[in-house]
Amino acid sequence: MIKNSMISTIAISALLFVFIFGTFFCAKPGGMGAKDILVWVSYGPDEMKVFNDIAEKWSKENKNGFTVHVAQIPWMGQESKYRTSLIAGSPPDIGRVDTTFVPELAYNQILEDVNKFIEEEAAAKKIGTNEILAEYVPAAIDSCIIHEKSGKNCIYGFPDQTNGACLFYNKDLFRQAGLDPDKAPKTWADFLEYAKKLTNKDADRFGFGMDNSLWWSFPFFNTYGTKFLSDDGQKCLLNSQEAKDALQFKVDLFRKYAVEGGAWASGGQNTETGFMNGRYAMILMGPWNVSRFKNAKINFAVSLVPEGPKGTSTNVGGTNMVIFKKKRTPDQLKACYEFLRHLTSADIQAEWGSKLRQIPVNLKAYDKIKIDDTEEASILKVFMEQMKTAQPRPKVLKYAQLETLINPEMEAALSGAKTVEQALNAACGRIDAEALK
Amino acid sequence: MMDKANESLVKYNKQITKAILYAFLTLGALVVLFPLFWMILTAFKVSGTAFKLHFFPNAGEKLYTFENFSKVLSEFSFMKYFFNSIIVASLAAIFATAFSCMAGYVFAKKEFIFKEYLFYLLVATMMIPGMMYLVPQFVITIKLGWFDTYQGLIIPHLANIFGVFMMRQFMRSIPDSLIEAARLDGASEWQIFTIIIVPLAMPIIVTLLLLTFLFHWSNFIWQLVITKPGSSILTLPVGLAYFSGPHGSEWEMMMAASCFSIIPIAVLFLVAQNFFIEGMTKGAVKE
Repeated sequence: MIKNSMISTIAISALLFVFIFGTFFCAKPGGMGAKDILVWVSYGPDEMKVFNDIAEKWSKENKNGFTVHVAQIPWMGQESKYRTSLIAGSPPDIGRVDTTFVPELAYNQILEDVNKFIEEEAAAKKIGTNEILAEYVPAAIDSCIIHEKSGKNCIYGFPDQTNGACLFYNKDLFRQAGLDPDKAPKTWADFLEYAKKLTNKDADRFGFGMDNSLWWSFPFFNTYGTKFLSDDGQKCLLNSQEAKDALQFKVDLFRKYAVEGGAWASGGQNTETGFMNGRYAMILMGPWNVSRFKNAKINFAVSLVPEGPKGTSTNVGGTNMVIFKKKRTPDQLKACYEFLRHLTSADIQAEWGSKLRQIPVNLKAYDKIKIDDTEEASILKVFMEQMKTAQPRPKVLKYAQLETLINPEMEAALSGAKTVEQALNAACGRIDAEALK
Repeated sequence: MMDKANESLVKYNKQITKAILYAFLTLGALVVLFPLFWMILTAFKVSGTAFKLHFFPNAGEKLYTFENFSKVLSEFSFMKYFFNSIIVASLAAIFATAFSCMAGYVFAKKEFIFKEYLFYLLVATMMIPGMMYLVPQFVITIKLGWFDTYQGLIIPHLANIFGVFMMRQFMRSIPDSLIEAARLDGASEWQIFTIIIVPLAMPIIVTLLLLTFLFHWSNFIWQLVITKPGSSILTLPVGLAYFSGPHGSEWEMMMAASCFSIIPIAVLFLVAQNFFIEGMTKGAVKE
């Protein structure tokens, strides 16, 4: 009896404790003042160090006395975090978001258009606004620009990170196949010849490992000159001849020439793992895996995506820094813009690229990058070169929906369940009906 | 002579059956333990080599390290997240179980108007996906002023319909005669509940406690949205998410942190395993 009543007393006391003192141990709500700017970022530990330094220096040096406060949020679940903070009416001033999230935020009219500040800056510098936009990697700045139905172009923030895929190849496997490890395939025709030589099924080795998602298929579509959407953004054009040729080539790599090792199929060894284990001699991959492959002691090199009928090109990924609409003074809003311009300036981007081995978003920073490791420097140079011809992703409200609609169709083509034409017609039909309606 | 031969044949058959059974059990155990082994192995691997399928380092190659563990404990605020998770998961599990227990008892043994309708209405809400509640629950929590507080982390999840359902089903099997006898002996309602019902329902209570603890220990999305970035009450699931980026995860670090994070769950299961197994199998036995 005594034991039971003791347990009950303890339990009720604990509940009361949580109710009454639950807030006691928590950080008190940090009130943001008129001279404060709150930035939410989802960087990794190394990036955080560099970003914090940049923010701290700017806070000390900006002449209007604004202070940038940086808060780290996890990449995973960040969209839910932004959505709920918007519901609560407490979004940050500036947030780092995936490029594909920008159209949805813009559609809901919760982002600040920075056009007027760009115009003011251009007028002060006596240059055209286009000159300011031309500082940035074209595909990266394009992800910030939303064409309104009224014909107006709104610019929602600036890109802070950009990336795309290049061709990674295993130099040791090139040597074993009698290929020159310093000479990467220049065109898709060369690529096919290389892949044939590199494939040795007895040794469970394939010339190529490829992913099947839309994002990873863009290098194929783009090099064949495929246009994804009509100019008004109302119709999917992915059943054009260029798109069919691009997907046919992709399908042939697996089905006709059997030089692709099935990395795209469920249960297949994915491209990264297969490349690290020597199963795939060539893969398309982004810069984020360079250090991982180096740590794993893979003897590899990086080259431009092989040229198709329209030359070399790649996909574009990355993140943008956007300014959320909220109650603030005009000076605060201007300070947000100035901080973003500072973050994406040539000098800061050169510092960012040099320290983190990442592609700068500012083209003027390309020549200012200083990396001691010559191998890493040359790899970054290839990526920077590739980004000049990268094509922006189609801007739709929900990009993930496009992937959901088209990926099963491409898989059907790869597995032989549908012809390329059937697959692309079906994908276009579904995209028109479900994503663009 | 024949009997002896038969006996040895039966013995031999039994041994063969036993050997086959053990072989299958060993195989099953290996399958179940493999992810655990993989987690521990990856936790010791050098950064970037998680998916490298060779396990014995070549000459001069460093494949294994303790660095991930030391980094997790020093650079990553692991102890803070761990402590917060212990508080949130323990309190939520204790109170959700206690409330489920009380509600289950009422639905099983008490009579009141629209009891059955109310119960099935509550059970029907289990069919609504949890994500649907996220926004309304978030808005209510904000209005209560519980954003970024322990209350906000714990209290919104204390009403557990699944728990009520589990308790009610179990408590219905407790004979009414026991309750009546206690009442005749002069026991109060609270005494009937604490002295008769709770001890008899202990296996199912412990099972629910473990399941609720497990749910809160790994509940990521609520704990992410209801806390401020950089808050002092961030929990382990949110902390672990910092190891994931847009292009993959720091698997080695994540696995090192996971090695620590499974300790409370493992300890709880070891301590309460008898109750847990009894609770899980109780429903399968028909009197």
